[in-house]
Amino acid sequence: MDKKYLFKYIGIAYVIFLCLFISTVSRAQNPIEDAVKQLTSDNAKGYLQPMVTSFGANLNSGLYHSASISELGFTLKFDIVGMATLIGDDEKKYKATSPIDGSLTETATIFGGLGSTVPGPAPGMEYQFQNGQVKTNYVLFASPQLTIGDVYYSQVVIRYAPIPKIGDFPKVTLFGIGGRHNVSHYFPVVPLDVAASIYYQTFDIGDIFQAKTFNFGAQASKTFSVLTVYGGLQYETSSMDVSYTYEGEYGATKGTKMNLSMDGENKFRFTAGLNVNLLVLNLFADVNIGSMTMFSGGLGFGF
Amino acid sequence: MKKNIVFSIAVLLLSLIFVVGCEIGVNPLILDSSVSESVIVDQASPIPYPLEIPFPLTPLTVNTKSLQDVAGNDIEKINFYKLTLMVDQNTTPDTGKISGRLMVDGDTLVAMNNLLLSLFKTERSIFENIPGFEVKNKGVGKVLQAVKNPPPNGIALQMFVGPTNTPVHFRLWVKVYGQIQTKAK
Repeated sequence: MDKKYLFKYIGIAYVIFLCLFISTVSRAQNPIEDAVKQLTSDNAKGYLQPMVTSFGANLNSGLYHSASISELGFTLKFDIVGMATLIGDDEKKYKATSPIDGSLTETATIFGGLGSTVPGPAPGMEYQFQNGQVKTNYVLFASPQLTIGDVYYSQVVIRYAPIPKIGDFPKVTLFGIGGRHNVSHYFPVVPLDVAASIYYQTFDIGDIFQAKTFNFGAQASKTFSVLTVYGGLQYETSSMDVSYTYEGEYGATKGTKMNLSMDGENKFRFTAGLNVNLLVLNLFADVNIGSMTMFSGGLGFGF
Repeated sequence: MKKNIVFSIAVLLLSLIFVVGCEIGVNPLILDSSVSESVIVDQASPIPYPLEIPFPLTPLTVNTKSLQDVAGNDIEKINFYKLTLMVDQNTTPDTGKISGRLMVDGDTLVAMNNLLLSLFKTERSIFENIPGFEVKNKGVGKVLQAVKNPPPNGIALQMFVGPTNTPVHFRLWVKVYGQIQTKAK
């Protein structure tokens, strides 16, 4: 492919990613933020937990599409990686504390339907828990990703997407860095490429939302002509800090600054995927099984 | 050329996944709301049985319509889920016990019998089980109606105090908790 076209399409893909991401998040901001501001810290944690887990799971996805890394050579790949985490019925409900009598009641998370209603202490009185605000069966995310190598069987992977403050939409920054090392060259009899990896990422939206992820794992791959079959095992953590001003009326004083630190529930994943290598273009897709089911896929450009 | 078309389709497909299958703000928001009002009870000498003195002399107006003051949201439904009392500015002697009635629109909401005011140093629900404290359903019904369909002139609140064993001076806060269900955006 002509280099002129290659860079043109890289630019188009990146701009589309930024625009769609901004529009999705800015559209999401008000109802979600308004809903969370009504919740005490305990209920906010339950309400948001599936979002934290799915978001962390997404960030920890799509970091590799092969385990092949040469001893010394030039690798420069730019990927646009899309991630999706499936939201099942378990992610649509949690147990919330009732302000009427402190009992636990199953109700909607951010991905659920209508919040449960509990009867009040006298006839005609009732309390309704917050309704779900996002109707979806999956959580999506996308990231640009740059892979640079190969030096002594190693590569560096960088994710970076800075989006400046635009009007009311806060500054957004995604940054990730990781390294991979080919370990199969230590064991020449192994018929597969095997690599070990470690990654760290941060994702910030203004001052209200900060997420961090960390993972390490091992990958294996085998290439057949243009097709690479790959898989891996990964240990991962994710955490999200959410800050908001409480606007509800019970359990805490209105106006209290709430700072929540929440951990994603996914710790391990098994990945299986395919990568099609068409000279400077890669198409890849994989499925990830952990506490949730995740998919990633995308396009890669480079050598 | 063929490669460019494949490329364009791939970029388009990748882009589409961001906008398909995700609806935000589909359900109404539930927003907490409250309205509170206070009555000052100030009696320099004990109130002997069977006297009852109203505070204030003219009933106080509580505007339950203000529960709906949730800026920028169209209201679909309003719930009433809690009513609390709290006493502050209390200079009544520690041994001071009061009896009395809190009235809404002429009906008793709660009746108190020989009650220590210190029980209400912190906000307490009127539905808690407190010895010497009784909730009257008719009064609760009045508040419920006033929350669901706020009368233009609000509801009248008045505290009748007596008898007491000491002089009494305190401020009684009455707080009504509601929930506003907004229309989905």
